[in-house]
This record gives sequence, structure tokens and C-alpha cells, in this order.
Amino acid sequence: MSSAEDKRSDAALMAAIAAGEQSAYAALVSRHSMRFFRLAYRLTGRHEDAEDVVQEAFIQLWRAPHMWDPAHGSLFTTWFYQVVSNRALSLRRQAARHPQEALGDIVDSQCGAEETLNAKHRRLWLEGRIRALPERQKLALVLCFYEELSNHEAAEVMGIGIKALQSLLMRAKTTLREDINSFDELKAGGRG
Amino acid sequence: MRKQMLEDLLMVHGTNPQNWPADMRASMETCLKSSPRFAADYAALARLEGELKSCLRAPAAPALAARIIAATPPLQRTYLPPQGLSGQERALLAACLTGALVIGAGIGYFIGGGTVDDSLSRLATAALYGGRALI
Repeated sequence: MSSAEDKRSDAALMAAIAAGEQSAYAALVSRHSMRFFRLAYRLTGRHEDAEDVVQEAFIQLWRAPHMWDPAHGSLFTTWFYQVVSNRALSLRRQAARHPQEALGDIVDSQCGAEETLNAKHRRLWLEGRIRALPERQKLALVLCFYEELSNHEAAEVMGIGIKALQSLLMRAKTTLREDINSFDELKAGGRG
Repeated sequence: MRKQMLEDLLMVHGTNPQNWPADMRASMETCLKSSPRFAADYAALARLEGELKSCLRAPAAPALAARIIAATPPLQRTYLPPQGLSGQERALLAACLTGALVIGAGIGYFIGGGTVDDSLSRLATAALYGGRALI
């Protein structure tokens, strides 16, 4: 059985990992590495950093699987979202202290030829605005909007109450809406 | 429902009705149908969400899982006595281990033909085997 075909639940795989079963670890990595890579990428903005964050988080899990305790009631994924987002944000803070290292591949190679210069410019500008959001607002937005976690799960990942999460989400979206409006006004003013 | 309340709910739960709270969904839908102004706000928010969705697309990382598995070091778990033993249980465990050592040393002594200076390493090996067998 290949690691991708392992049908055991995350909790069962974690129990097997605690017993030192390497194939269970491989199955868990295969199942979840991309999901957590996307999260790390959205928080760090750099492909390499995101890969490193996810790799280190999984190695930490392998060394100390008891750090996730199902008796506490959270799903494995909820707990691991917490581990990965903490690592990613901490790396981002370090990068912010060394701005020359933080530029990286935020402007990546995904802009296809079909994308007009305007749309591309607008998207990159908006990505810059999302990255400029305060850390907690950005994390709330990434978890709820991009990772599509329920508000309840996202609040649990962030270790805050549901009302606080909703307030962060509202502030993030309001800021971005205002940013887009001013962008459009500026563009309209430039034309006029 | 007031405009501000509807707007707040849409901001928090998004424009997909499937994500709206079950107890609010019907009144939110009625509200949106009742006023073109509400519908326009909804459309503006849906546009914002569409634009946001086009951002922060993570690139593919097809070799990531293999890279992580390859980089993971083998386990080096050291033996630790079981946690939560009472004083009496600890004493029993210590007595068993000492007994195993003594029996192992005895076997080693006899294997060595009763000579102590024959081979200390043989004695140590036998002691180890004896200990492991008993544990």
C-alpha cells in the first residue's frame, strides 16, 4: 500500500507515528503537505520559505507526536494549522527585520500571458495590500477565506473567541474594500 | 434587517449563502431580494471576493512530500522508565533489573568455565542476555 492510499484517519496515523511507524508518517505527509504549504505560502509569500516551514513542522511532529493530544478535542488539522501558521508568521517577522531578504518571489511567475498588464498590475497591487494587513487580520482572512475553514475552526486555530475572529475578518475586508475603491478612484482620476 | 447588519453578516460569512448561519439565511435572502440597494452591495462584495480569490495563489510543489520524507531523520528514542509508577512499583522494577544482572553474571561465569579472568567481555555479554531475557 502506498502512503497516498493509506485510508486511516489522521488520529489513527498520529497514534501509529507515536509508535514509530514510518509509513504512517509518510501517509500523513502525503495527505497534508500541499494544504499546509498553501497556508505557509500565503503567510510568508515565498515558495522556499513556505516549503521550509512545512518541512520543519512535519519533522517536529515526527520527533514529538505527543504534542498533539486528541483528548483536548481539536482535530489534527486544526492543531497543525496552528503549528504551521505560528512558524510562518515568526519567519515573516524575522524577514521583516531584514527587508532585503523579504522581497523574494512575491512577484512570482504565475502571471500568464493571457493576463492583461492592467489586471496583472491590479492583482499584484492587491496582493501587496493583503500582505500589508496586520498579522492577525491577515491570518483570519487566510484561514477563513482562502483555506475555507469555518469561523469556529479558524477561531480555534488562532486561539481567540468567535467574536474576535469575526471582528478581525470584518476589519480586513473593510480595509481591502477601501483600498480597492481608492485604487479605482485614482485610476479614474488619472484617466479624467 | 438593517443595511449595516446585512453588510456585517456578509463581511463575516461571505457571499456564498451556504456559509450563512442557518438561522439567518432566510431573512438575509429576503432582505437581498427586497432592495436593489442591498443587491448592489451584495454584488460589490462578491466582486471583492472574486478579486481576492485571484490573489495569493500558491504555486505547485509536487516534490514537497518526498522532500519532507527524505529530510526526516530516523527516530532516536531513548529508553525511559514508564511514567507514573508508585514507589513500590519502582522498587520492584529495580529489584527485577538487579536480579537479571546477577543471574546474567552467574551464567556468564559458568560459560566462562568458572574462571573470572577468562573473558570479562563474555561475562558482560551473558549478563546482558540474561538481563534482556528477564526484562
